[in-house]
Formats: sequence, structure tokens, C-alpha cells
Amino acid sequence: MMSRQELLAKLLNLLPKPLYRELESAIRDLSDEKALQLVYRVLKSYISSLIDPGEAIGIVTAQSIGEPSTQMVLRSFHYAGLKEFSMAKGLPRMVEIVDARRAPSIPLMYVYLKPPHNKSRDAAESVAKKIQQVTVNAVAREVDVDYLAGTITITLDSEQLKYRGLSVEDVRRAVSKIRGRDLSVAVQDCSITIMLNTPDILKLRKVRDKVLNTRISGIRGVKKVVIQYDSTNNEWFIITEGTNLEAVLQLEEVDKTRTYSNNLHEVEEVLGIEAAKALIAREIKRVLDEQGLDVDIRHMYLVADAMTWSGRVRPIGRHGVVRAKESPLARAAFEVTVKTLLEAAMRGEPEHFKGVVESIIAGKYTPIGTGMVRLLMQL
Amino acid sequence: MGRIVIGVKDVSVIPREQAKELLKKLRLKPWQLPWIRASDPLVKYAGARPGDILKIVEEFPTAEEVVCYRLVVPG
Repeated sequence: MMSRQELLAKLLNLLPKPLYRELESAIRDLSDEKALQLVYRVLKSYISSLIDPGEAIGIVTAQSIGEPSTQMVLRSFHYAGLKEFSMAKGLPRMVEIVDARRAPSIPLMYVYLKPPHNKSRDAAESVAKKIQQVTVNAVAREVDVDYLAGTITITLDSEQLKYRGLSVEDVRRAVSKIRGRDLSVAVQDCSITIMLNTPDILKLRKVRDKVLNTRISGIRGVKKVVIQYDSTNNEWFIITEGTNLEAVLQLEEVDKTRTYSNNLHEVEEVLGIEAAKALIAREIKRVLDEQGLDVDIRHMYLVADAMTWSGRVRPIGRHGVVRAKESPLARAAFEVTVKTLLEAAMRGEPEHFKGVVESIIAGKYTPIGTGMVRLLMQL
Repeated sequence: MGRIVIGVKDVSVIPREQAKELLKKLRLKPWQLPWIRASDPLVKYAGARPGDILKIVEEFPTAEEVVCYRLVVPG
């Protein structure tokens, strides 16, 4: 008979942590005999609930996500415009994730802060000011273009400047750094005059736009910041519209272990493929949760795994996951049949009939469930 | 255990000898594992080179953590 310690040590290797903890606390006050009985029962039902080899989990996932998603299309009408924060929701966002689009329609970044910066609104706001991109346009009160003299005069809003912690000198420095144009910059009180050294009326407008879009402070690409309170962790964090993970993570106040953006490719690049995988699963889960649909997260992780196993984020479809299939027939069965077959023929690709799709086409047993088993012994 | 980035708790390179044993246990060829590119931040963090196998401890909602092995490939 094993001692209780030995038994628990063995269980720790067998069971997932949450289940182990629950079982451990449950048997603490039981007699040895009862404890053993309980452990036996738990193990039995745990092992019987594991996926069997050969189970067609891909189909189960497709069904489990696909069926509730049909509800989503109808319901999204009711939910539209309910939240104040504009965010791609419902089916459009789902398609975005699964297709692994280059950039999401509304790029967002969730910036979490290290304590003490996350403890008060003011502290979070001071970080937010560092992050938000401030252009000349944002602090300008008036812009005058004098076509006769060939000058642009920008009157700055001193209150805006003060609020953002900037000075006229900061603006002058940013403007004079503009490259590619031959400009001279003069400052007078609260206004800045920009003159083209070689007067050209046609260029003046372009220069004006360029000056107004010049970044004075903050991080490139971060257009809007919103400070939010998370009541479960009792902390303040920042949501930004427009993303630049690489730059944000370099700030000292930012918690690098939790900050992420909703751009899959950016996350893959900056945080790695594993982070991208977790993000895919969580984002799909979030989309479905928002619609009040309950789908087990393990289905999302299967999708995320399929999209990321090659080390890159690949869309589900003929340019990504399906193209990676070895079998030409399986690829042809998905989309653009003739082209796929022609190309496979040109390359002289073999067909091994190992997968499900090609086996069905050929009328063979599919390698699923009992179809996976083969006799090794010669009879 | 802490956290490196979202979804990742820990990462380490498996020594060659142990990697062989692992592949034998899983009955896999190295390339049948999921891949991770050598340019991936996690690979740099772990100090791995192409051909190494990484042991990645992931956060997982239902089981708290899950171990994922990835083969480091050039790229």
C-alpha cells in the first residue's frame, strides 16, 4: 500500500493541476480507504473523458464553432452599438482572425502597467500621455497659409500644449526635423512660421499637411488612448487605438508579460508564435462570449494550433492551412479544383491516400477511429 | 511560475539526449513536432538554435498549464 504522499505525487503527474488540487483537498479529511476509493473514481472518469486516439477532433471543432456562429449573424443586429468602445465584433472579427488578415479593421492595443502605475487613474493617465501620439494638428488652434509670401503660420493652443506637457520649443524641434523639404522655421510667442526656402505655391499645401501630421511626442501609430478600470484585478490599464507593440514594450512602466495587441501578425513578430496562438484562441473565444455563445475553449485552441504549427500565423483556407496539405486531391477538393490539380500534375506530386479527404474521394477507409488501426502481423 | 508573454509561462531548451528519449516516447520524427522559427523572440529568449527542441509551458484555461514541444527551424 502506497503512502498518501506517494499517491499524491503520482496523481500530480497524471491529473491537470486544477483537478489535482480539488481532489487533494477532498481526500484530506477522509480515511485511507475512502480516499483511495475516491481517487479511483476520479481517475476512472478523468481517463474515460480523455480524447481517444483516432477521434475526429477537427470535425467536432468545426461543428462546435460553426453551429453557434450561424446564430451570431442573426443576433449581431441586436447587439450592434451597445458598447461605447468601437471594436470589430461578431462575424466580421471572427473572419478577420481565421483569415489572419494583415491588419485588423480596428487595431487595438491593451497596455497593462506595472505597479504602482496601475493603481490610480492619474498614474495610468501620465503613462497614457507618453504613449499617445501628439501631432502638430492636435495642438494647433489656427493654421494660416499665405500663398503670396509662401509661408505657413500655425498658432498653437497653449492650453493644449500645457495639458500634454509640451512647450513651443518641442513643436519647433519636431517641425524643423522634417526631412526632404527645404524649410526654415521661426518662432514667435505661441505661433510658428514655416517658410519654404524655394517658394513654390503648389508645394505649400503638401508641406502644410506634412507639418500638421508631424509627431511631436508619443508613440507612432497610437491615435487614441482610453483608460479603463479592471475591477477583478483592481487596476487601471490603457486601451489604445492604433498599435505599435514594439515601441510600447520599451517603456519602463509597461508590464511586458500582459500587454498585447489584436493584430495577430504584430504579436507573432514581437511576442512570438506562442503568444499569437494564445491570442487567436482568446480572440475567437471573446467574440463568441460577447454574443452569448458558450463554446469550449479547447476548440479554439485546436484552430489556433492548426494555424500556428508551422511557426507562422497562417489563414485557414486555400492560401494557408489547406495549401500546406500534402495530398493534391485534398487540396483540390477544397477550392479552385482545376488549377490545383493542374499544378500538382505539373509538379508530378504523388498521392499517398493517407488523409481523410483523399480516402473518401477514392472510396477507401478513412484513417479515423477504427479505420486508423492496421494489422502489422502477417496472417 | 511567472509569465514571459501572454500565453507563455516558461520556455527551455531540451538537451539532445533527453530530446531523443522524448521523440522515442512520442514516436515522432523531429519535423513532426510543431515548428518555431529561429527568429522568434521566444527562441532568442531561450538561446536555442535550429535543430533544438523547445519545451514551452503554456497557460491553458482549463488545465492551468500545458506543455508544448516545438522544433526550432531556420527562418
